Amino acid sequence: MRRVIIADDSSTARMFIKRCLEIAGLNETTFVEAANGKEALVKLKEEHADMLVTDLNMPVMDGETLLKWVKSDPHTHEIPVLIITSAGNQARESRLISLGAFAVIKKPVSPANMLTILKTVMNEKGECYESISKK
Amino acid sequence: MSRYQKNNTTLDELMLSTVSDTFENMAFMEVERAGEKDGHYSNEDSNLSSLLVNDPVQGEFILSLPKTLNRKIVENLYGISGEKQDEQLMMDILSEVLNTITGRFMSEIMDSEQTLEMGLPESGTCECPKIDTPSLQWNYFVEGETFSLIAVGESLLKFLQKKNDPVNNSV
Repeated sequence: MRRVIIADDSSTARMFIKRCLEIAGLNETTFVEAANGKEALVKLKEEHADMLVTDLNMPVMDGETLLKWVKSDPHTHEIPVLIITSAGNQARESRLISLGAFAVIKKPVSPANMLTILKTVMNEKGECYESISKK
Repeated sequence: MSRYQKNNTTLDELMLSTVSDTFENMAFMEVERAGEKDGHYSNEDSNLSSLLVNDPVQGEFILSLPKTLNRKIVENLYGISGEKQDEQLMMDILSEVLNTITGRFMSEIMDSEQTLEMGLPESGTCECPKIDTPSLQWNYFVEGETFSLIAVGESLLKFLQKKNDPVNNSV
């Protein structure tokens, strides 16, 4: 069973991201929700995660700080981190990628852009996208 | 409504496409532009959300939405009918809609080297600016109801005005 952590202070956004990932084909997955970066870090330490999807603008700990924590820890640095934000532009996207983000996706997310990203993530991890999706 | 708004065709188009994308993706609803007189302003039948823009300019975006429309969005997203919806869920959706619209709109008009810093949206109890406060307002129709987006704050309004000027559109 895969484990994906979704960090966003909006329960609506978490639900929407989860739904998009499911429609894009991410089945047999446990989705773990976190309302901020600190909560996400706690959940990452509790159990391994296959992917982290995070918003940028959150209370307590924002997505950029969370990304730095994840990438600086040898136990978590290989986890692909997808940043989902409404406030993304070229400068910020470049900074986040240089910090280790796998991809930066603009809100509102859609199953179509999730599908593209998922295929790339799977390819990077040496897995076949078809193996995670129901035919 | 300011005189500036009436001539604000470029920003109007950008805001319309941003609002349309957001509503179509999140709530499966089609948005149309409404006239100046159709604006939905704060009253007891509306829910409000506000969001501060902190950098590169300072200002605030406000979303004023009829409660009935807010409930329809919840129903479309969660499949929960009106009577069973809780207030917190309605506010959360309102905040997320405003957050998405503001972030996308501002990101589109900022220079590529600038970074947008926003606050966290606050929904429910905030108040619309007084009618004589300088502001920019966009009005839309969705499923027979109107809602409004309002921008306030001197720095933000100057920024928007400058961006709408084809001769000198960088800040």
